[in-house]
Amino acid sequence: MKKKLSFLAIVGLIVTMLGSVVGVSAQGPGEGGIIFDYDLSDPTDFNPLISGDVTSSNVWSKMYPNVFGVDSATGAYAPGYKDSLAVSWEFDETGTVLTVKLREDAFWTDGVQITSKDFIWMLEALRSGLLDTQRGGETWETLDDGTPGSGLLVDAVAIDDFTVELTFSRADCNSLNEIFATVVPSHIFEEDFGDDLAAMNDDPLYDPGVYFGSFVAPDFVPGDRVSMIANQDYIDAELGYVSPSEWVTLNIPDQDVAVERFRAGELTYMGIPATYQSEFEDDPNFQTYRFPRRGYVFYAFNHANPDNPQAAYDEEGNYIEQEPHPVLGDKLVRQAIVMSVDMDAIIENNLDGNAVRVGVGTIPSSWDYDPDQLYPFDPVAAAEMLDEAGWVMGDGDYRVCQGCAYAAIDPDYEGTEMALMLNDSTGGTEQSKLMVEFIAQSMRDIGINAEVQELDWGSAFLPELTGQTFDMAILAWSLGLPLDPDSTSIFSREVDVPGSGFNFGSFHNAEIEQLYKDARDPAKTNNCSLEGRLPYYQRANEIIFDELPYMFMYANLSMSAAHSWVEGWDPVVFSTTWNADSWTAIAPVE
Amino acid sequence: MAKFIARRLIQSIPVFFGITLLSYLIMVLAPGDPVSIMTFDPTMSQEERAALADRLGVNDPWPVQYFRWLVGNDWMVVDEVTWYQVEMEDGATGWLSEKQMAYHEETGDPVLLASRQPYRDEPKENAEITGRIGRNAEFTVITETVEDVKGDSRGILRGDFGKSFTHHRNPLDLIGERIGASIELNIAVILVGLAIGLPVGVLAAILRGQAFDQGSRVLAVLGDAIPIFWLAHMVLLIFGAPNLDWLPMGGRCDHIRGGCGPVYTRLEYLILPTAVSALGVISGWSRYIRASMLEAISSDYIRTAQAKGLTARQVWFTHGLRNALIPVATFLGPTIVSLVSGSVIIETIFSWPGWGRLTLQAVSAQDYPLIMASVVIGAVLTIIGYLISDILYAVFDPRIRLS
Repeated sequence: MKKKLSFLAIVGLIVTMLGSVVGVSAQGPGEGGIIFDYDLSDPTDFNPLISGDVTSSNVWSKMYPNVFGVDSATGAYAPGYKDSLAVSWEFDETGTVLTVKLREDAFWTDGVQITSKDFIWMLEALRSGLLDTQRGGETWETLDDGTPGSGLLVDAVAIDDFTVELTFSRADCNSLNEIFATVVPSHIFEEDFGDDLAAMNDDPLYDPGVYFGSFVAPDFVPGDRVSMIANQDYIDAELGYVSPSEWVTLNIPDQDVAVERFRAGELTYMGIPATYQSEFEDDPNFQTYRFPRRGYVFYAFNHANPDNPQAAYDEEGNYIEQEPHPVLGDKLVRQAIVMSVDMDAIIENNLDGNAVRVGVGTIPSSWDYDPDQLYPFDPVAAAEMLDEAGWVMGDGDYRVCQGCAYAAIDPDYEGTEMALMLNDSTGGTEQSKLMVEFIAQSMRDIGINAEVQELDWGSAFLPELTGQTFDMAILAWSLGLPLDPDSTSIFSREVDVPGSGFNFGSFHNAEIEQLYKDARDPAKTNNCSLEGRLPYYQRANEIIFDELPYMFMYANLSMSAAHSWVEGWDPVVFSTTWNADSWTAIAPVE
Repeated sequence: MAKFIARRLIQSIPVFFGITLLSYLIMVLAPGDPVSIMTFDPTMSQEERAALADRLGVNDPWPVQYFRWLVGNDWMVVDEVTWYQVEMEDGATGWLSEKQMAYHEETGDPVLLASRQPYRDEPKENAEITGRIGRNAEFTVITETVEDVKGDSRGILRGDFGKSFTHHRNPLDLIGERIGASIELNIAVILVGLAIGLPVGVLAAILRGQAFDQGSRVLAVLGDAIPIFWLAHMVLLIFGAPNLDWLPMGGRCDHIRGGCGPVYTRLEYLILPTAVSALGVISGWSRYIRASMLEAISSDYIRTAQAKGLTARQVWFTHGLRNALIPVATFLGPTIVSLVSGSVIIETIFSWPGWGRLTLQAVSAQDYPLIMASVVIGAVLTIIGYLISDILYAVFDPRIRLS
């Protein structure tokens, strides 16, 4: 008997030891453990109709479907894609009327079918102008209260339960991109709010209790977490059921702390900051995935005189010729600055190799990307270009104007030292600070007196940037999905408005504006085919490469990591969580 | 006593308004503006940004904003809108506002800005929509009227703190959700600080010049000198070692749905943030108590007590400590404020969902209503705290007269 007990004890010990190294596979619905991730702040809204921040959208995008699906692997629109409602869509011959067919197998969790009515109700609610949101203006050309929007939609009609007709003010290849299309259960919203849509503004955490998506019913503990439970009625589940029982998003306001907590096993997966990537890559306790980030980092050049910021147009719509920036107004100077900076060294030394150079405002995963569109690092040639531009070495360490372009406007400028202020936001990491200092030193090396000033984002950096009183300012743009090369919103003269416009460097080029317009015109692009649009963007990129509205720097290589015990983790380039409903996230028992 | 309290309360009124006025001034005169922060998105049009700024009222001069924040604007006309009663082709009538109209460049006739515009049964924004007409539909203007539009703010003097720009909710609700966590953490910190700092200070005074005194002084200097953010990160690094799993590294409770349970069920969450925060408190209090004790024991009444033949224990603890603690009463005012205002660094590093972190985020986002709600509550608590402090001081020390 004693021998038998010993044997059982050994078996038990072996089972325990196995348990300590092997995670438990999912057995069925809700048995795949709990997914823990984090966000830097609290969500502010659970209602997509009034929500505007990314943290909130991470919550409601799990609960409600979008009409138009975007393929996580390609970043392009994909009819019938997971979590979306449209199975097909087609423009008429004018390019202004879009007919959308919705799937017929989608139901809300209360059993009510999702139909055209839900889509139309949501669009009409946005158009009412009663909601505290920018989404109405982004979608519609004009709101019900007369406020002009930036969208192109002028009408939306349900043809039948599963067919919707959308009318746009003009034929535009990007008209779909402009529409907000997350659908909510209109029968519940109508019941709860009736005609008093404005009441939604006072109830941002409103939860109808009826959903479609994989994780639903948010339980919010302010400042601490949002927990969502698995919806086993979710019809798009990869395995036919939702494997994790819950998805908990912790509020961790410090990224470094999040890394520590991830390492300690308190988070299931996370996007790894650049400075920690090498560490995780070689660690067998983690599985990692690298992908180019959907965005790029750049130093904006101010092309206009920062002492006299002006809009591109006056109130009557007349074009105002901008007084050039004394230093950066000259293209040769901008090109010389770009050539003076060893961007490969920055990527290698400051970013641990976790970035890809970009030469214009496009990234490797975009269809207009040209890997050869890069300036060489050539400080000797850069110095010669400055000589040619009329900036010659003075008695000291820096150059002075001797026949520079601005002296033709203001003869008193002759003899002025070549000096530039490089703005940096205080929120940056230590690596980014070193990088900015490296750029400044590179400029000093060719005779430009470059100084760095660190400014608080909200109270100093932004006012200087949008007020157009800066010389150079470092920033990054994130690009939305689906990826589109159109940069009208940052490079057109219309948005050169001190205080609010996004062409804060006053980059003016009429040809580019026309190219962007043509690239969105179905008649000129073989009905919006990529092949038809590409030549316009290629030409626009050539101009941008030559004119340099920005010093384009790099696109980060992002890294996502999950613990080795997470099963089913299969990140793709545009989403690391697209199949989270099939994960098993059970930490091994120690 | 009642007279003293009444007088202090009356004196508090201008102090309160002074605090709010200065705070508001500093806030709105700081460079930058909330709309720029909220709308740093190139896809937004100029008009949408302008509409948002109008809606938030941040374009008005600061005295107007402050006055509105204080007394509201629901009693005054802030805008006028012209409404047109129109007759449609099918004979239906309805009201359209001037905002929905433009004027034809050639004929000067009113035309609609967009299609399917709603018309209402009365010339009011919130009136019932009775139908819609298309952009190119024909209609005739029957009559027009001008509607006065009043503001919708009641002002803080009538309890309306507005709506947070970022959270879109009443700032008092937001603070209410967080204040409990701050109080909880800071009570723990003060209790630990007192439980350790008080005896260490007393012992250091009793053993003046001896090893314990010297050691406690070194530790106190270290405790004061070590930056709290560094210490907090070190603690996380140590306790975050893979598979250690001794203590939770952040948050306030387990992820059980429905919020956090009673504090005694989740004490482990308090340990790390309390330990790190309490270090500074222990250092400060131990030195303060030590100094206070030494001052007390050099007093005449202590010498008298010793001359009367009391034991050392009686001299130190009955007479010395009791009198040494009187100045501690002055700490109570600021302590009450610190109880709720929270510790921003600790709350951030340990993901503690307190009010301090909320206020910091509000300042970063230039969320005026939330910042000002925090200022008002902070000001009220400070005033009350110091009033209590003064009263207690007089109660503890009869030599001090409230008059």
